Amino acid sequence: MCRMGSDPGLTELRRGVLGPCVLALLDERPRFGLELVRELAAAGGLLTSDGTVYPLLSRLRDAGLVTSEWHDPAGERARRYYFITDAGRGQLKSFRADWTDFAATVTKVLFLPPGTPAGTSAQPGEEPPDE
Amino acid sequence: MSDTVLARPVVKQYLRALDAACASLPAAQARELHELIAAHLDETLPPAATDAEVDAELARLGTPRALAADAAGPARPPALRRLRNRLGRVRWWTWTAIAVLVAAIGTGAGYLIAVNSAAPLVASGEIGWLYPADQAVAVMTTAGDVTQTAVPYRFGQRQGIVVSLVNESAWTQEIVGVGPRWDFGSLPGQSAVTVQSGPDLNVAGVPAPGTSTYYASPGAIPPNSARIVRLFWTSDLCMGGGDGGIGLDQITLLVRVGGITRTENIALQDAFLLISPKHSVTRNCQ
Repeated sequence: MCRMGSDPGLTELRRGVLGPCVLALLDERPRFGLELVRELAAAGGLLTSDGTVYPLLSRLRDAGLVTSEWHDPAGERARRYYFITDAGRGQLKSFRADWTDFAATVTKVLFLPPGTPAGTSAQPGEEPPDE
Repeated sequence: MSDTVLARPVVKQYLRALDAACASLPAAQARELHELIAAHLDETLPPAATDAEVDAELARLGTPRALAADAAGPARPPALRRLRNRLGRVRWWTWTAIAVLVAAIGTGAGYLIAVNSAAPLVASGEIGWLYPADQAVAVMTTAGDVTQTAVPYRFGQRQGIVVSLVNESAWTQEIVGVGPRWDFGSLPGQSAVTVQSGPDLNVAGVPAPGTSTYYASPGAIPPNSARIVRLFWTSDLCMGGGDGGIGLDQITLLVRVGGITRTENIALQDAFLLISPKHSVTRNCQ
């Protein structure tokens, strides 16, 4: 588990990717809120605060990307479970494709060797050369 | 100790702050967020959690304001939608109370307007002087359309007039006194007004056979009816010889209409005139 810094730009980046990460977890199986919080917190660096997940769930449901329903099994605590919808799966698929290209581009530009025109060198994931 | 951490004052305060911060969100969304945060706290914190543990968990959740901002999304809802959301969470009994209040104010305002728009009393004709001492010496003169009746001013004595007033409105009008700017009788309490009253007066003020009338103060004039009114005073104004006299071409009365007392200036058809005697006593002169 790692914790990223509290740079405002990073906070915005986290906000941008948190929704797809929640959709990805729900695509695996339905989960309840605290479960999502714990898993995202365990992944590290995705949450600016634990409470961030709850407003996000509400917005995802308003957007039709997830649904929710109460589960109240005998002898256990009642919990609201969240389920991904077809629209949510479609958006997750689209984001995964965009993210691969986006991450590759960002990595390429971020780690561009000095003096090299953008787009002519550095492969995705390539380490910057030692000076 | 309570069996849930939700009963802790600091947690209650946090949830109240969350509700306040979510005031501009749709009610269902705010309710769900409250429910999720409460469930989170209830599940992550044991009932016996220390204050430090509670504080740490609240800090991990983030501030209520930040949660509300996250729930609102990147773009805040337009002012009109925020207002609609706020109004949407007003409870039905609040709307009922507002409706009752508006209806009461409207009814009250309508009532006041109706009362104030009631036609004032009008003089239908002068009967004459109240006291025989004046009536016996009254001199009637006419100049053009103006008729006036004149009597000597009797300083320090009671004098008065009798007029007929008509109530042309749909409201009962009760004469409760003379107006504040009465021309005669400079001292308070020296002037008075009484109204013809009786058990069986018709609209013209005529009593049914075998019944009597009397004069009362205050006295009421029913809607669309006429009554005889007596005004009298103690003549104590300073009028030295050669002052001429005092004319009375209107009377000012305090009239109660539907619970509202108003001042009515009533023009007289003919004028009453009090003439100064040549050698009057001037005891009340300043």
